[in-house]
Amino acid sequence: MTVSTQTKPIIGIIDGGMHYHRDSIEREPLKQYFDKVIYLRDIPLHDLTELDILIIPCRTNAHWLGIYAEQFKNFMQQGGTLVAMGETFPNLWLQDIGYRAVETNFWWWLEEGAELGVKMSDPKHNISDFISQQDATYHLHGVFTPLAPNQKMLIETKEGECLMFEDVVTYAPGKLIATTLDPFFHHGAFFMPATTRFLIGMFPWLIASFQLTASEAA
Amino acid sequence: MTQKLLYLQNSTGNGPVILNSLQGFDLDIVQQYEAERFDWSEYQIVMVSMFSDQIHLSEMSDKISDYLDGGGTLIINGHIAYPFLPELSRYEPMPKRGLDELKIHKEAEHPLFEGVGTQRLTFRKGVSGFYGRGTNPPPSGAQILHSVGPDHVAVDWLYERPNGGRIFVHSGVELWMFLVPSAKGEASYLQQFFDWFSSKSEIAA
Repeated sequence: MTVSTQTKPIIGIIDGGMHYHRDSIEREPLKQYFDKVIYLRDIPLHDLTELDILIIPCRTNAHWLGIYAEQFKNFMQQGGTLVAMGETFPNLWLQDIGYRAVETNFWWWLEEGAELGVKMSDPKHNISDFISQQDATYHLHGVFTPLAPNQKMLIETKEGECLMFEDVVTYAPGKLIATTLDPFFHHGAFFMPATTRFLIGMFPWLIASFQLTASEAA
Repeated sequence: MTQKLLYLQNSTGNGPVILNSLQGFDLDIVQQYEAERFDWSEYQIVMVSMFSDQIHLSEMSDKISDYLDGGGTLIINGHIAYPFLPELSRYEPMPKRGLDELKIHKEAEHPLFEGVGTQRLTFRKGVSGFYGRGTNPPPSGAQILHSVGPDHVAVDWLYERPNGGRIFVHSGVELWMFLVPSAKGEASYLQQFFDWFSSKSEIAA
């Protein structure tokens, strides 16, 4: 059987009932990407394995995500890609994720010649075709540290600490993508253009990565 | 007498501990999903944050209205995405038209914001846009306190409900950060803000 490499993945997103979730989900430019919107407390009523990619947008209440951790793990182990965005604290509900909060420097860009120093960790990784260093540059909330061996760093601070990783091993055949950057929060509050650009790049990247994996499996 | 504040939190972490500095108030920070369980009638003020789950607040709409009918005060921060009370409408962002769009205007003198200049609200470290960039449209009869942009859309408004109680809405991030000093030497208006609601409260302390 031939698997089309151009299959569009089925993308779901959690709505935590926050305004910046609804205003990200229901409006363009992101609206086009979502096949299914699941309210946070309705997660147990849904079969997540019907999805290929599940987005947990920024600042979803981590206490409640913890309740569904087994469902998220099962989703990944069945081949799904789970994307945990900033301030969802996957370190609180998945194993082996190190995290350290950093003092948020909201004002770094006001200083003369300021450079936050955020870097794409591996210029050869396909994420760099979709998200630029500038799109990932705004204030920071935390870093994933220490990194487990399966967690491949995608975006990092000036000091080399992890702002985004992917793990294609721990929950194979599925994968976990986690970031401490919180673009949905700012984009959904109609603030900070870099965060909108980050998300405009992130979805085509997720789709391209899904198609790449599908073609490799074929 | 000490007045009681209820803050409905919807995140991990400590919540707005700055409110613990208020004199004459006793603050309870409770996870939002737990709030249905108990009686609010002893709280002079209930606060929902910009992080709140408005789908859940919609499910609790009757409880919130009952609390207000009893003379309560509800303070809302954030954009309204799911209008969870009959008095609320969905947030309307403004088209981005540059700095003028972000200018905060005082629409009425009010003891809540006595002494708070619009410069302080418009600029934070010289940067504008933090206070408000659009409106949670007010119901007819609401008093508009601050607006934003050339069209003067309502950012802060106060509504005395015909059925009792009052609703204060700030169409932006948590208001407290603008009431406390952001630089050395600036005044704090936090106590004054809460004291006014306290003086109007119909709920006995």
